Amino acid sequence: MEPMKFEDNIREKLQEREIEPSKDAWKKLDAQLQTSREKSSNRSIWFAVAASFIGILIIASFLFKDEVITLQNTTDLVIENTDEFDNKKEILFSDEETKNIRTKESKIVENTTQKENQLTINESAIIPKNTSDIAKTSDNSVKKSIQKKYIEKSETNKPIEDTNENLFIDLKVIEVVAQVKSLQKEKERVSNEEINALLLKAQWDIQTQKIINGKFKKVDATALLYEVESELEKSFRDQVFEALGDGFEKVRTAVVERNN
Amino acid sequence: MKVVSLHKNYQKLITKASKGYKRSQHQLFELFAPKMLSVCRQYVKNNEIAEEVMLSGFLKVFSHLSSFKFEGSFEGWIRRIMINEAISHLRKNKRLQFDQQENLENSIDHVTYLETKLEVEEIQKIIDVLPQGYKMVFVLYAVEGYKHSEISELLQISESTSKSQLFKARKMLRTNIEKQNIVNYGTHEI
Repeated sequence: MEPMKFEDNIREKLQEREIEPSKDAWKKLDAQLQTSREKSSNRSIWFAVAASFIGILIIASFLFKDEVITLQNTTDLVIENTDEFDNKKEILFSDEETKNIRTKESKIVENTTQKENQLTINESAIIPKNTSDIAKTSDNSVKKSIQKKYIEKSETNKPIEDTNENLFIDLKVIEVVAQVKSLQKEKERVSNEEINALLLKAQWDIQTQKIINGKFKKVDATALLYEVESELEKSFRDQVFEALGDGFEKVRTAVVERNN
Repeated sequence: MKVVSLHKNYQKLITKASKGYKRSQHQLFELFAPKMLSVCRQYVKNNEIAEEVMLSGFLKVFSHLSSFKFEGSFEGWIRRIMINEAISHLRKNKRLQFDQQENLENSIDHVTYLETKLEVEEIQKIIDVLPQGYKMVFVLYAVEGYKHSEISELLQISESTSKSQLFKARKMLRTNIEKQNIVNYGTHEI
C-alpha cells in the first residue's frame, strides 16, 4: 500500500463519518422552531397593530383638518353677523339716529298725507273704493320707505338676498291689495282698522320670512329689531294711521256734504 | 438523470421547508443531521454538547432557508453554518484561545506519512487531545480546506497566527502518532 499523508487520511475519514443524533433531537428542534414561529407571528401582529394605528392617526388628522376649516368658516360667519348686527344696532338704537329716522318717517308720513289731501281735494268725486286704495298706497309708501331705509342701512354684499326680500314685500303688497279689494266687494266700506290689521299681518309675514331666510347661520337682526320695534312703536303707528284715517274721513265727509 | 432528479427533489424539499412546512423540515433534518453532527463533533469534544450545537445550527438553517438561492452546494451551505455555530459556542465558553504568533516563515514542516490508515475513532482521539486553538485551525485547514486568509477572517486572528497554530498542531499530532508506533518519517518540505 502506498504511504499516504496523514492529513489526507484524516480528511477522508472525517468527511465520510456520520453520527446518528439522539431520538429526542428532532423534538427539541421542533420545540425551538415553534417558539420562533410564535415570536415572529407576535412580531407581525405588533407590526400590524402599529401600522393600523398610524393609519388611523393619518385619517383622523385629515378629518380633524376638515372640521377645523369648517369651524373657522362658521366663526367667520358669526363674526360677520355680529358686525352687521352692530352696524344695525348703531343705526337703530342710537338715540339721535332713531330720532332722525323717526323724524324722517314722520316727514314721509306728512308728505304722503299732504299728497293725499291734495289728491282728495283736487278730485271731483271720491269713491269709497279709492280711499282704501289711497290709504293702502299711503300706508304702503310709508312702509316701503321705512323698509327701504332699514334695508339701505343694513346693506351687505349680498344684493341677491335684498332683491328676494323686495320681491317678497311686493308680493305681500299685492296680496294685501287683493284682500282689501275682496273686502270691498263684500262690504261697501272698509274700515281703517281692517286695513291696519291686514297691513300688520303682512308685516308679520315679511319679518318671519326674513328670519327664515337667515337659514340659522345669519340672523337678520334688522328683522328682529323691526319686529320688536313694531311692537314697541305700535302706539305711534296707530297714531299715525289714526291721524291719516281721521284726516281722510274728515275730508271725505266734507266733500260729500258739499256735494249734497 | 438521477442526479438531476435528486437535485430537483432537494429543491422542492428546500422550498417547502423554507415556507414552514414541518414535514419537509423534518425530512431535511433526517437527511443532513448525521453528517452535521459529525462536523460539530470535530470541534466539540462532548457528543451531547456537539448535538446542542448542531440543533442550534439547524435552527439558524431553517430561519434563513429562504436566503439560500440554490447557488452552490446545499450541504456546503449548512456545513458553514454549523462551523460558525461551533465557533460561537466555543467563544461563549471562552475555550477558544490562541498562542502568540511566532515567526514561522523559515520553518520546515514535515509531512507525516502513515503505513496503515487510521480508523476514524483513533483520528478523533488524536485530534481531541490537541488544544482548542490548534485543533480549530488544523481541522479548518486540513479537513474543511480553508485557506489561512479565510481562517484568519473566521477566527478573527492574523494569518501568521493561523500558520503558527497549524504548525504547532501538526507537530503535536506527529508526536502523538509516533507514540503509537504507526508512522514512517518523511523529509519533504511543505
